Amino acid sequence: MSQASITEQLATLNFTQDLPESVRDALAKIASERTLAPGDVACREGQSTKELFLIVSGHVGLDMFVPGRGQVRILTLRSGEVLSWSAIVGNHGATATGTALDKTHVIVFHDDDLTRLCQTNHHVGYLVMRELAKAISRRLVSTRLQLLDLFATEKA
Amino acid sequence: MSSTSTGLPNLDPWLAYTVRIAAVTHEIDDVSTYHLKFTDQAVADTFSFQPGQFNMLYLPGVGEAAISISSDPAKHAMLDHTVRIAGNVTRTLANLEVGATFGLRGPFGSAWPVDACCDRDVIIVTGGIGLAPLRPAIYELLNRASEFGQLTLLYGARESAGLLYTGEFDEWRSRGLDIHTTVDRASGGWTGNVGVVPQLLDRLPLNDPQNTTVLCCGPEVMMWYTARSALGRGIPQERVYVSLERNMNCAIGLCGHCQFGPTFVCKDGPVVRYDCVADFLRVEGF
Repeated sequence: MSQASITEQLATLNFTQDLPESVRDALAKIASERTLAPGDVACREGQSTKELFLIVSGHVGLDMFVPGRGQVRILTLRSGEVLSWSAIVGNHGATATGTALDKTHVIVFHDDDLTRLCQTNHHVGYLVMRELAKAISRRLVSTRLQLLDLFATEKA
Repeated sequence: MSSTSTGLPNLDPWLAYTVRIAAVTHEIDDVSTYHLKFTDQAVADTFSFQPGQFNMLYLPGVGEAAISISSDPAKHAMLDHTVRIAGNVTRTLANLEVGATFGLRGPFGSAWPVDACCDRDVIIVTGGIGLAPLRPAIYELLNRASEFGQLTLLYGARESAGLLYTGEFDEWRSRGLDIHTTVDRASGGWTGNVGVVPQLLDRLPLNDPQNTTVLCCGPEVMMWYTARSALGRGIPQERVYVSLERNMNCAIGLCGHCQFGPTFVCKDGPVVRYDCVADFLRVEGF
């Protein structure tokens, strides 16, 4: 797996495709690739997480533990979406468990490397955080729609 | 506006024809599909409808309810209506047995713009029982699949038990419909996608947004966010269609019960172009 391969993939993913090529190149230099088998856990709720994942292909289920109900699936992530952003924002504590639902290919950023890149190159830092904010915003809107319980009162 | 019905009602809009319940298919909790036959063969022979139109089902002594037609427009033997129990008429209907008769007026309203979708990709976005008024459009699109580009169904429900017509999905897929389902809440061993329907549209790869048409039916807030997502993906607002639901009484634009801004949903709708109603969808009280 090469940096060139990662650069090519970053150019196609929703999270990174709008970034300037130079920024994608800088990100590719600190990234690695990984394949998760079905059932592999990328991050576990309550535990420290040191890696940010960008899903290239496959699906990841996000689960939260609810006392009395066990693990409850709250969201399914797929290509182009970010997993385990707690590695970069927050206090590194994963707020959900991310489990590969099928063979899932991800690009991995270690939090030390990504934080260092963002701090030393503010242009990259701004653009990465802007994309991360967009992703969080989209996730927030989706969560609000789930909270609204859209189909609770539908009529024929 | 969307393509309008050819469709004044077939004969007299005030005249209720007698239909008999030929069969009932239980779909999900509180939702069943009633397969109806006209008792008068001459009416059966002349009755036709377009995808998206509705009928007024009249139960003597109880009242009338506007119900979308959910069957294949190309098949005339049976007229299907998928109904959720939501009031006196639908509750009474749910208690009727096969063989029972009642009245039907229609068809009324505008239709999904199937002809205008030729040579374009079509994305059907719907939630819950909103699939019922879109099922005739799906049948017609699949019956004429070679005339269209990629056909996609994005379908969500509160829980997996709320997904309609799942028994037909394999056949629809085999005929060219790309189906993506999601639920708001995972339960009952659901291993599919979890998340809201507009999110499916956010993620869907688009071949040519400028030449893509979106047909959307579901709760209004879902349609609003779906339209917002579609526009954000570069789909022109004049190619986004929604189906509105209001309290329809006369069904021919006289009584005003279903007025929505300048639109009478029963006559100008239920299928309307999003840009024609977008300003009113965000007005409280409409």
